[in-house]
This record gives sequence, C-alpha cells and structure tokens, in this order.
Amino acid sequence: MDALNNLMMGFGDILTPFNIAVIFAAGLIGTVVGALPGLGPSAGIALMLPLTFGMPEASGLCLLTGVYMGTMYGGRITSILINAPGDAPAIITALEGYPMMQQGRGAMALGISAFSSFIGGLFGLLVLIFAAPVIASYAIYLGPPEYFLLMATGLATVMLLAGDQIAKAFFVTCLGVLVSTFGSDYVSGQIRFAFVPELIEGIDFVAIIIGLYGLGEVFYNLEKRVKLNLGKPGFRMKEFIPGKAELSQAAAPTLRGSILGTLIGIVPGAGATVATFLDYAMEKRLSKKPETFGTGNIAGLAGPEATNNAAVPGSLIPLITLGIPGSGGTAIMLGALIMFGLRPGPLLMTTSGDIVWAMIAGLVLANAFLLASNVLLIPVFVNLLRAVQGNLANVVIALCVVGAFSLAYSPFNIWIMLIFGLLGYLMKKNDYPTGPFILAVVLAPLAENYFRQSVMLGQGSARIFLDRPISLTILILMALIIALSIFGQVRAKRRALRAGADGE
Amino acid sequence: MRTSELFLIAATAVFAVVLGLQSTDFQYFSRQGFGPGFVPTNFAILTLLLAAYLVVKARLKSGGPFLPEGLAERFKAVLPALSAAVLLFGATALMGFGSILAPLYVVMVIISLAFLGHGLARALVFNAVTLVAIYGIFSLWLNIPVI
Repeated sequence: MDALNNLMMGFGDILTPFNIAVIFAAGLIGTVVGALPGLGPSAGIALMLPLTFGMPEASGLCLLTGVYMGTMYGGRITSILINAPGDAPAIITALEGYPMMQQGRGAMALGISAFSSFIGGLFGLLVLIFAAPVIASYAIYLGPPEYFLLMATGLATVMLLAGDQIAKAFFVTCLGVLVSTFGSDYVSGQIRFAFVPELIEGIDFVAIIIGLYGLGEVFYNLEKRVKLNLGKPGFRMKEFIPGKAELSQAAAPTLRGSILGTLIGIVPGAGATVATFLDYAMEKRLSKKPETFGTGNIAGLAGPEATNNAAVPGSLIPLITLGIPGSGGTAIMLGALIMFGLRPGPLLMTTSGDIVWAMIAGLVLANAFLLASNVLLIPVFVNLLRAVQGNLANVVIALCVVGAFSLAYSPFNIWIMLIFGLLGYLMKKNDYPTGPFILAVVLAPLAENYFRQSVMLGQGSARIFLDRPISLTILILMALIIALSIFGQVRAKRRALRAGADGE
Repeated sequence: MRTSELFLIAATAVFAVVLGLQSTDFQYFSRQGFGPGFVPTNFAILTLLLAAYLVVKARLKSGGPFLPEGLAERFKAVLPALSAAVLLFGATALMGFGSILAPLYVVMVIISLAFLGHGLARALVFNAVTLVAIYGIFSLWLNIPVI
C-alpha cells in the first residue's frame, strides 16, 4: 500500500499544466526520434539532456524517461511503414510488421503494436512500482565490495553479450575507463590528467554522449547517404483499432512478452534488443504455425513489441534501487540523476523519494499518452517525420552544438563533443559497440571508488570479496554468467562448424 | 583491415600511451590499498595489449594486403563525414569570436548544399528556421545565452 500512496504522491507532484505538457512533448519527441533510423533511445535522451537544465528535477526526469519510453513506441513506425527499423529492438517488428503493411494491413500492425507496447509498458511499470521499494529496502545492506562486484557483473554481462565482438567490447570498455579517469580522484582527492583547466572537473559526460550518439550518427548517415522516404501513407482511423480476432491472437504473446521483457530488463547488461530476439524465438517455438512467421504473424509482432516496452521500466529497477545501469540508455539516465544532484543508490528512494515517485508517475502518464497518440496521431507522426527527414542531419548537428555549448556556456565542450562525435562515427563504422564504452565511462569512477574503498576496508587485502557472504554470492553468479556465456558461444561455434561440414 | 579501424585503434593506443606515461606521476599503491595511479596505469596497459591483439587478429584474418585496395574510392565515400567534421572543427574555432549560431548556420548551409542535395533557397530557409527554433528554445525559454 505504501507503494500506491507514494505513487499518488508522485501524481500530485507532476499533475501541473507544465509537467503534463513536458510529458506529452517528451512522448511525441521520443516517438519521432525512435522512428528515425540511426537515432535510438540513447541519442534521444542525450539530445534532450541540455533541455532539462533549469527545469525542476522531477520535470527534467519526466522529460528524459518520457523520451526513453517514446523511442520504444517510435521504433516500430518506420519498421512497419518502410521496413527501416528506427532502433535495434524494432528489427523484429519489421520482420512481421512490414509484410502486414505489404498486405494492406499496415494500420492494423500499427494499432496492434501500439496496444502491445502499452500493455508491456504498463506491466513493467507495475513491477517497477511494487518491486523497486522492496529491492531498495534490502539494498541498504550492501557495502562497497558488493557494489563493486555488481557493477563489474553489469559490465561483464554487456561485454559477453557482444558475442563475436568480445575483444572489441573489451577494448572500448578499457577506453571508457581511461576517459573516466580525468579529473578529481574520489578517494585521494588528487587531480588526474588536467591538461587544461577545464579538465579539472573531468570530461563532461553529457558532451561525450551528445557527440557519441548524436554527431557520430550524423557523420555515419552522411557517409551512408541514409535517406528516408516515407511517402504519404493514408489510413482510416477505424483501421488502427484491432478487432476481437486480432486481440485474441495478440493477448497471450503480449502477456508473455511483458513478463520476459521486464525480467530481462532487470538483468544488467541484457536490455530490450536481446529481449525482443528471445521473445520472437519463444513465440515461434510456441506457435502452432511457425511457418507463418515472417509473413505478418500477429503473435510475432505483438510479443516482441510488448517485450521492448516492458524492458524500459525493468531496466529502471536496478538503476533506481542500486544505482546500476544495465544499458546505454540507463547509463545516460544515471548521468542525468547525478547531474540533477541526486545520489543514485539504495538511499535514493529514501532521500529523494518524492522525485523518484514523480518520475515513475510521469512514466505511467507517458505510457497512457503514448498509447493514445500512437493510435490517434499516427498521421501527425508521419508528417513530422516527413518534415525532418530531408534536413535531419542539420537539425541534429544544431542540437548537438548548442547542447554542448549549454553545458558550461563555453566552446570547450563543443570541442569535446566533436572529438567524441568522431569516435562514435569510427566505432559505428567498424562495428565497435558503444554500450560498453558509455557504461564504462559512467560506472568506472564509481567502481574504482568502491574497489579502493573495499580494499581499504579489508586492510589492504582483496580477501574481503570472499569473506562477505553477499559479495561471495555475487562473485559466484558472475563466474556462472561468464562460464555459461563462454559455453554458449563455444557450442554455437561448434554447431556452425558442424553445419558447415554437413553442407559440404 | 579498414583504414578507419586502424586509425581508431592507433589513436586509442596513442591516448593510452599518453595517459599511461602521465599516470606514473600518481601513486600506484597507497598505505592501505591502491593509489590514484592504479586504474589508469593498468587500463592503459590493457588497452595497448588489446589494440595489439585486434591489429594482429585482423592481420591474420585478412588474406590479402593489410590495407584494402581502392583507397581513393574509399576516401571519396568518407568525404561527406570527413568534410562535415572539418567544417565543424573550423566553425568551433570561429565560435571563440562570440557567436555560436552564425558559424553553425554557415556549416549547416554548406552541408545542405553539398551533401543533402538542397537548393540554395531551401538550404538558407530550412536552416534558418531550424536555428530560430533552437534559439527560441534555448535562449528565450531556457535563458541559455546562445547567440
């Protein structure tokens, strides 16, 4: 009941005309950003961060989480309409949504996916509302060794999920750690690598992400000459509303997707993309007609859509309760929490409960807005996308430059943003994952701090990690995750080799 | 191996060497644990080892010449991204004179004309409208001194 009371308190804080307008705008912006190929949730949050300066904390966080949620809705629009997934989780949506579009059922695909996204988001939010306070109440028993190991587990999972790119993921993680070492050392207070006075405080995290995800994408799209051509799809309103038959086909996959998405979202490092692929595979296996997958199967569309939206609130659970982000998007959210002067961790819900609950209430409201807007305002989204599609590169460049300038009202951060823009471009061009890099930039200073505190607590000995029961459990879990992941990769390689040999 | 990948690895390696050398100024051990030099030193070494591994792995994988052929064509392909970066670096240098939006506008118009296939009028109007909107949001609404 406490959770519901707190949620009501959160609603009390956000139900002002300004906040409602912010949440609605966030949903719209997120949907458009999510729909644009190349710009995903991380880019959306990064580009919107400078807009939150000067806003009250709750409004700023509502804007960012609303954009995050909106991108998950938006990714499906271009997937279904023109077979161009707006972001990685929407790749699966294109597999079933675009064939439906070709069959003249595009509006139905948009409608079903909007409903499934809503249910997925709502389910994830309910778990967030009721589970987060419980986890937070236990999290206060964790000390520096446990925190260090949890962060290391998150980073290890992200790297292991990189599959064939594991060396590249490890390489960019190391680069991220090095970037994070600029500025004050938390433990000794010494200033590291302040080659110019502006670096005394370290490299501004927001400038890094704006460059990496905003400008990097622009450079890449300019090279690839990515062009959107949405045309003028014409739908009637009643075509968006699924009938009884479609709803009954979508109901069970939506529920399964919601559960799977929330669970995978909670696991640090997994994220929405992995969740949608797993859910699609599960739906195909459970289906009585697996051969219809890829030809416009409603279960294959509804399940993954629910999954990717459920993963958003799921991924916020470890962020809010433990201060541990599990993905690029939540890493940026962690940076935003720190930027607002909040201290992410087990005490966040106690010390800044009002802001956290206002943010959660904002998410509930955003999810409802997004359902309504993604059914009623599809023509508006299509027209907005058509308006920016020809000049997208310049819109993003302008937002990046002005956003970076806004950080300290000086061109220094524009230089930083440009350098990381080039880095982002080179990483994308050569298939180096950006997720581990940004996670390392955010987590490394905290992890270094916890690690050195732990060793000090252990009087200079690393045995402290083995002596404490919780940290030992986390260590064993981490070893299991690594072992299972390596075993899975070796098995997949052997299977591929065997298949190759059989083919010959 | 792609030239751009080699550039990425080489630049990262140089960065790691610089930080690695600089980190010798900081204590590796402190009285009861590790000092501020511990993380940068170890990660600089790790980065260099991984850079070497990635280069060697790419070398072993590629049967032909180490760098791909047809460099002129590849350079032509990356020209839009490279030009945009150079233009932005130049514009940022000019921003030191006081205006953020003026050099930015020039860059945006050039990108529109050269890479987005816009005509002059469209480039001038579209980008002016974009910057007016941004000025409205940042300067008038958020009171951030963007001029």
